[in-house]
Amino acid sequence: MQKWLGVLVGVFLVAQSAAPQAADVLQALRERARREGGVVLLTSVPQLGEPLKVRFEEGNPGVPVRLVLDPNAPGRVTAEAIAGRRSYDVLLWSLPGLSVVRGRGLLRPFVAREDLAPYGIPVGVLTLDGYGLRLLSGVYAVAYRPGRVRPEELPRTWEELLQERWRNRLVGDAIAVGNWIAALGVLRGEEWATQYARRLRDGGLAVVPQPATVEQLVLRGDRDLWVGAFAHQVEQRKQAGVTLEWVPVGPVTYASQFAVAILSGAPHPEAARLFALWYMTREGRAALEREGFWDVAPGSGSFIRKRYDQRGIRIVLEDERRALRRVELFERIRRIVLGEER
Amino acid sequence: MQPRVYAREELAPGLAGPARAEGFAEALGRRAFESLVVLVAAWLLLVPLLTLVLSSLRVGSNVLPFERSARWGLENYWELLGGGPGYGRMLGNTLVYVAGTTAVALLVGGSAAWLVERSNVPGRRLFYALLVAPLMVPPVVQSISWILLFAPGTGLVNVLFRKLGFSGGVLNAFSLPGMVMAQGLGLVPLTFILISGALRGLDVRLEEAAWVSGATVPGALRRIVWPLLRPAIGAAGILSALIALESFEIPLLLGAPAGVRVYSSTLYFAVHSISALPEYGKVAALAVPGLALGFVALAGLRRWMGAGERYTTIGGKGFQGGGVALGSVGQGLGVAYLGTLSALLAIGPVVLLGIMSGFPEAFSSGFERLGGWNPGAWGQVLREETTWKALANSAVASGLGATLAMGLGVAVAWLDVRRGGRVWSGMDYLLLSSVTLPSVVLGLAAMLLYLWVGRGLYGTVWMLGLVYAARTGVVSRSARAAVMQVSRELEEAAWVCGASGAAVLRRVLFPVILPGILGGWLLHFVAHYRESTLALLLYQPESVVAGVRIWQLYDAGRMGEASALGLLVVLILVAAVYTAGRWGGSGWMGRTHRER
Repeated sequence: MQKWLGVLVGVFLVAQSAAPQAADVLQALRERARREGGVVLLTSVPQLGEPLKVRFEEGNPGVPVRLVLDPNAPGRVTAEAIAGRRSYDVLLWSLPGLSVVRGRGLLRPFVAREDLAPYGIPVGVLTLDGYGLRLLSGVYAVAYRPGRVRPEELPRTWEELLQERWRNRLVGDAIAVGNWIAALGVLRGEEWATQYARRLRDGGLAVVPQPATVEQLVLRGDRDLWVGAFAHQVEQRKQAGVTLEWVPVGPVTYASQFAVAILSGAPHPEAARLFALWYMTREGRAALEREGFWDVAPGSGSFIRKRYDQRGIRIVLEDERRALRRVELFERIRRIVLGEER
Repeated sequence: MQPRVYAREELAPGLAGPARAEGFAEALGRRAFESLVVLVAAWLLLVPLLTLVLSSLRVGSNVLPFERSARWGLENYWELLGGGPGYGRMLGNTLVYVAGTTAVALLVGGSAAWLVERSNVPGRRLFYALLVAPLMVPPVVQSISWILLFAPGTGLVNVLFRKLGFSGGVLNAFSLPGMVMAQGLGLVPLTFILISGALRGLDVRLEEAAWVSGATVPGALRRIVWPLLRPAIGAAGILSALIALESFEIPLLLGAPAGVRVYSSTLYFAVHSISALPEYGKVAALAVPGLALGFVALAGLRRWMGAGERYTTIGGKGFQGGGVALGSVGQGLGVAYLGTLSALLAIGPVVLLGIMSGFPEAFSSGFERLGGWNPGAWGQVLREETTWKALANSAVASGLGATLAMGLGVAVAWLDVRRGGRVWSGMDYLLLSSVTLPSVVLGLAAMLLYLWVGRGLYGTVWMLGLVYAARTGVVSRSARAAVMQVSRELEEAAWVCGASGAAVLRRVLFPVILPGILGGWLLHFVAHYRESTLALLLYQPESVVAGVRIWQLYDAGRMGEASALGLLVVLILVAAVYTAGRWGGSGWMGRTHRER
């Protein structure tokens, strides 16, 4: 007993001494980042880029984020790199997206001893063999407008969406729908996914280009269910005052991963490190949650996770292997839902 | 007796060719000028076109077309040809969509132009302004307002229709007919401007001569007005068709929910990937047939129009405008027609922007409740430094683009109409063909060009201006229409008085064509001030423009701010157009002849 007490006291003292040290190291990094004049963030995902910029600037005064949102971020960063131009510091994207850029040698690896340990960041946040840091997970759900659909009517399983009662009532954006069905395909097989995509398409699933359009169609009652939505995405919209709600659907669902990576040859390397690492700190995580980006990892205890747990729905977290499989399926699924392939 | 339009050569054959000898210095200057025109056109247009064709022949997975790992091949075309039922249906939809859109744009725009320019309908100046105003509204807002009116279940017009006891609806926004109507009406400002400009330049004495000779009003329209308007109507038609082929807002917002795929939405989805590099090769292979179609259409147009001087209506022997006096019933119907168009195209979208920017509850409740006025979005937009930077950058980039494009358009039109020859005829094709270049391909070409050749310009607002200048399709038609309506005798008179070539341009040609080219300049400026597709591919944080910022806010779900900025853009453009109209002083906008 005394031995364990001694260990606990030791851990407490180490933690006490490490905490201010990590804060000091972070502050020193912040100073260096300030001297560089800010960080340039490139992303294809405006729903992430804008709020992350705002929260980072709040938490790190004097380190402005210059945001570049481009649907063709990979083409841009690759073309510029081939021409020997380095304009961006941090790339924020999905795991498979980052994987492509990493394959071209355009990312700088994180070294746990230098990049994480001094800041008290656990090694578990590393992904892509150390080239990226896990930022957040998006778990698939179905969104709807309260009042338009009765609670008892809501689907409980993915198969229920194929029922005749949902004919011409579903809508999703092209990329999200492709990703969602491909993600389910990772869990349940390619054959299941392609059949599922065909049946949804034949059942009148509407596929539009942007989430904002999906949202309007659901809000105005032209469509009733928003498929391919992330639970946190709906929570964010609720925070913005939009009348939407979401329901967990199972029996198993999938959580896509988004990560940050530092581009090799980043013109502002210290500011880039600060941006990537700050979101891994407790302060950064809290900022993410304030923005509606709740963690869904096991044991996270977030209310989104709890809603899935209460319904007994298993969440499968994406890793790099699954991410690459999802991408393999994505293009085919998207062709099917867009009507380019039978 | 049928009135006949005489070709100038038939009346005065001796005046058709160059009337005077040229000095050595002037010949040198002319050569230098012509070389400059060729060089600028090649830089702005040939390089993107070449990039397009070469990219379509480069094959490889997850590689950019210029990378060494890409190889030469025809696979992109084979895939297109063997695309299966999806492509066949897409081509059929595209054909119906483009043809229908063009017909709607010409019929509605042409009839509105005739009412405003050639009739005595009251309030013509106001209607002119209202019918030009939609050019300043971002296309995405026009699409949303169309959805609010004509969505099958909840569209205001359809709901009203059912409340009146009818079943179904007037029009389903999410259908091919809905797309045709939305895009066709969206192009009305363009056809309206092009046709009204030509109508304004039409000498009323030609019609009067026909009436005196016993022709009826429809007869005079068919035999006098129609032949003289053919260049403008042809240009408006071909531009409408090509713009409908390339623009993707309506196909995405109205077509995609109904599963109606057309050419532009296929291109859009081909370049938006989650993990891989965009399939530029396939996009280019899809774009090349569109480009070829553009060339064929232009060749047909030129053949149909025949020789340019047949359409000269502004000569050196006086000019008189005028029109048809409608009765009270005709005037009433005219006002109702123009009023409905104005409400649908101009007033509705602007009101919608106002509601979305100031009444957040209206939007978040799906327009079921208006809620209270909340200036939060406006405050946020006005506080953000990015807003002002974006608005200023847009002005610089679109101003530079419009000036370069119009300069090139006038130079090529003048050289082609006055000198003729294959080189200038080919240049004219080149300028118009830019309409068919998909923005994503033009953006990629520009990215490659300025990354390797003009690195100092890469990512700057100046580069955006140069890329915008490559969109010469509309301005080239404006410039050509303006130049074609000016008789050679005006220049000849100046030469006889001893003016140099430069002086003729500056003191004779330029003042006469100013209203026409100012209209074209403004069309280009306005279209690019709110442009986002090209800018999204090419901007850097310091060169963010208004269209990009609106897209960022819209996509991030900040609808109130996006609408506030959209409305700010509309207000700026209205002010710019009004100021330009005052400065131009020639009544190019909102002034009919009898009001001048």
